[in-house]
Amino acid sequence: MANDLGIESILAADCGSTMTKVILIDAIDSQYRFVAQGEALSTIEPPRADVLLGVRHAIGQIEKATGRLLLDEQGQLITPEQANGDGVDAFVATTSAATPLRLILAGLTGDVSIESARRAISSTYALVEDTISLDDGAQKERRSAESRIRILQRHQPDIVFIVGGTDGGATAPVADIAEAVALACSTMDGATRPQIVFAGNKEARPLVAEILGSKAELHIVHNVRPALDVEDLTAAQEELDGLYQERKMARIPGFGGLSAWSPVPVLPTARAFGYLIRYLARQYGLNVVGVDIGGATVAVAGVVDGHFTSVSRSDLGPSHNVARVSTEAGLENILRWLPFDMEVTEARDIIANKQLRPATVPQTRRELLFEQAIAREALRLTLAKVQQRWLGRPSAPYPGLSPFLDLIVGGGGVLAQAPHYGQAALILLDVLQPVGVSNLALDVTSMSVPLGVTATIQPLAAAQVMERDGFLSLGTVVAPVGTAREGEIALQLGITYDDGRSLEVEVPYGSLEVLPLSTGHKATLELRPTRRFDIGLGAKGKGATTELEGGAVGVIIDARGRPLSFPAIREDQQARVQEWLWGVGS
Amino acid sequence: MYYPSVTQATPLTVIKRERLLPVRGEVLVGMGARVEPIDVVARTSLGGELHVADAGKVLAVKSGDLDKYLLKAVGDTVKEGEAIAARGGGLIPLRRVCRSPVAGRIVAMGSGRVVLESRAETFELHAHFKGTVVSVMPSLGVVIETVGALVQGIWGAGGEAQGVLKMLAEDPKEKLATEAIDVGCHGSILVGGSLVDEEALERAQQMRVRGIVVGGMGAELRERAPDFPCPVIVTEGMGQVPMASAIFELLRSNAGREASISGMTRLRWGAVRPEIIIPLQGRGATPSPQQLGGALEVGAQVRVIRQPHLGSVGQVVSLPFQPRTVDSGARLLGAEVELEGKGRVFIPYANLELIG
Repeated sequence: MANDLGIESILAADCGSTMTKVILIDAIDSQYRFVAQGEALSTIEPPRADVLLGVRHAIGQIEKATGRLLLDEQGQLITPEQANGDGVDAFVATTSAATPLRLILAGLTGDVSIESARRAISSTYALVEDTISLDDGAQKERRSAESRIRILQRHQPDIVFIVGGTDGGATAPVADIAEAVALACSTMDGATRPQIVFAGNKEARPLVAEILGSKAELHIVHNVRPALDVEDLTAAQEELDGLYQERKMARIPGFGGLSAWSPVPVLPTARAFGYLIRYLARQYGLNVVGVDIGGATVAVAGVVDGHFTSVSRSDLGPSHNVARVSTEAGLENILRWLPFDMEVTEARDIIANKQLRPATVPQTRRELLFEQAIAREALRLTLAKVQQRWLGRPSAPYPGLSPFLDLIVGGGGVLAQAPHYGQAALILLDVLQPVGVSNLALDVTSMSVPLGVTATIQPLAAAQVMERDGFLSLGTVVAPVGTAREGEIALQLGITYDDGRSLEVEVPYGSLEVLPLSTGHKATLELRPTRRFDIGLGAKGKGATTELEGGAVGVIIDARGRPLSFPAIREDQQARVQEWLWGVGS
Repeated sequence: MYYPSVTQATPLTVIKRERLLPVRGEVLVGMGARVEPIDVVARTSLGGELHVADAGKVLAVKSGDLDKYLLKAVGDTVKEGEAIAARGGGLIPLRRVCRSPVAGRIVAMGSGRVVLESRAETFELHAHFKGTVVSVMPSLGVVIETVGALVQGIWGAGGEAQGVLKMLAEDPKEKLATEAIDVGCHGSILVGGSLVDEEALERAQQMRVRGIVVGGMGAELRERAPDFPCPVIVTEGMGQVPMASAIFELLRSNAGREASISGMTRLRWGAVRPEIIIPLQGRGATPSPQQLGGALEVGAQVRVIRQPHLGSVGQVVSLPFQPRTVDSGARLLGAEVELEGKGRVFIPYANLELIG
């Protein structure tokens, strides 16, 4: 038995804002395998208001499916696993159901460290409510002293995140900010007083401690911008993550009970998701991007050329935060993804009703495609934050376009529950717009997050389950980069199947086509781009031959162009979107 | 086993509500006190706006030296224009004085600045509904209990109000007609059917109605929620949606009775739903214990919470073991429900809730 910790069976739970999912992993013939999954409504809100209830409901489904008793009569976890097979050896959990940290960002106007701070914040569940910055000029400063205090009083943030200055630079501006924050803190009582995280000029630390130390709880971490050309976000990210766990996750109703079941700390969902993406990249030496479209949060985690980046948008989940997606993306941008007309009134009503009842599912094709359109825009907005960080990497030779990715993993309700796998693939392609040759995978059983947290207690279990029972392969996408007139040939290809059959195809620019190659089958693909197109080999017109494994959708040739563009006329837009849907078999 | 969400639409139940001050204050009633909706049960003062007086600059002194020129301390009250710090006078010919920009209280000092809070306002917490005080939380508020009917909405706006329930629709499918809102509606809580529009809201304002309860409302009107003249409660959702029959009939059976409505809605993180409370204490009826909140079972009364059957009420007749394909193409687990006027329909679990 490949197990040195005495842990053979594990329940791993992910408690989301909308749904709670639990998976059961067990050692079968000396190998860890996925056994069963349960899913229930999350029970964070009144009248139930106990996160553990939803976990018990989901575990109840696993009990029913497996016949294995996991909870005792009091609803407590049976642990360790009993001789009769009941119970489990360990329980681990993640959650994204807590309120995000509410931050006020304080820094110097126009300082690059403000942007670095925003990037540090974006990796955790946090919302920047407002920014306090120092203006120049005595008059402006005096006026803004009042407004700065009012900003803090109005928002009553959890954290004031102060940045500013490079290490060794002037300390006076940072001291000014600290004084403004200290004065604001003096007006607040203990219950509403924010904690302060200082991640600015290290020379200013003693001064900041002197000014703020007696006014609020102060956390000093490495400068996010120690030099103009150096960014160091790790310490600030870890501090914010820690504060999120301590100040937010711990306040989820019933969190104490959940926590007591687990021998390791309950993790934020996005962090566990990040662990898994990093594992995949490291284990197989790949450029990997994972997207998780949750009910309240959209997370993107990626490793490109060995560099890990992650962004969570706690305000853009297409269920709870659907209205925000609509406001930030613009309703027109949502409607452009539909192959039919929809009045603005109808769209607004659907959006409002989804926000009121986020756990509901679309029953008609019309509402389904509308929800998928919202998910595209939520993902697009989230991705925009990550894409900036890929600029200049060797695998991202085309500014403004995706880097070359070996693997794209999609997860979250809207993707995992898409009625046709082609729809899930199309959402990923429409937003990520990969270039070159990439594999597409779907986390159809929502295992990525539970496996990410499982890795903290039994890495082998996570690795073996991932290997054998992990993602569903959707297939391979080939997306040539280049431009031509609509209909001109962008790519010629030959595919030879494992039964000897072969096919020659000419792919016109602007088209989206799928070649059949089902799961369990292999093929050899010979790609011959025309002289104006690159298939990810770094040179236009350069071809290649590659071995492929099949997937639920097949081999997708996406020659629609990068970046993707829409016809100007609405009717043409709708016809084009319909063609794309037909193209992927939906 | 599926554990759906729950909406209360109960003809007779025990209703307990915490009535809490926004900040600490004084509770004015004791345990066992019988209260009417307009009774003030607790009171506090809410802080005013903050203002900053840049005393260091006015006096032309370093912030560290300001202390010796201060005439007031943190906690002191001041009048508008009253001196809070001064330098000079006597042998120094140029006297510099920093005066308070507002009447209020000094709440903080530092960095050469004085922070003042303009005069506070008194906040009075009303009982909101007729009942008995069953718990007192000193400085915080009270718990009031009553026996009566309770209906939860899905969205609301406009605070709290009390009035007599008045039906303005014969059928849950009827829109709340503007022309039906006349002088006879003054002081009433109006119950409509499937939709309230902007025109009807304006007429309601003119007729000084106390509240509106309706099945649906155009989503675009939500943005105008802060301008609503009175609490508005939507029971089903946005758009034109007939009010669930269970709710419509319950309200109709209580027409003419005093009701208390609250439009307050918070969707997440301590969710609060809008509600209508109709106290029925002393009418001799005994509430049955609440059983809602368990797993979905055959025989349960449910409401559909998503189109195409949004707002329809029915009874679960079977819980198929296998998922079924719905119009979207998705294969989903769900229940067969005998919907009123629509027959037996398969509804995914996620689109059902218990009602009762």
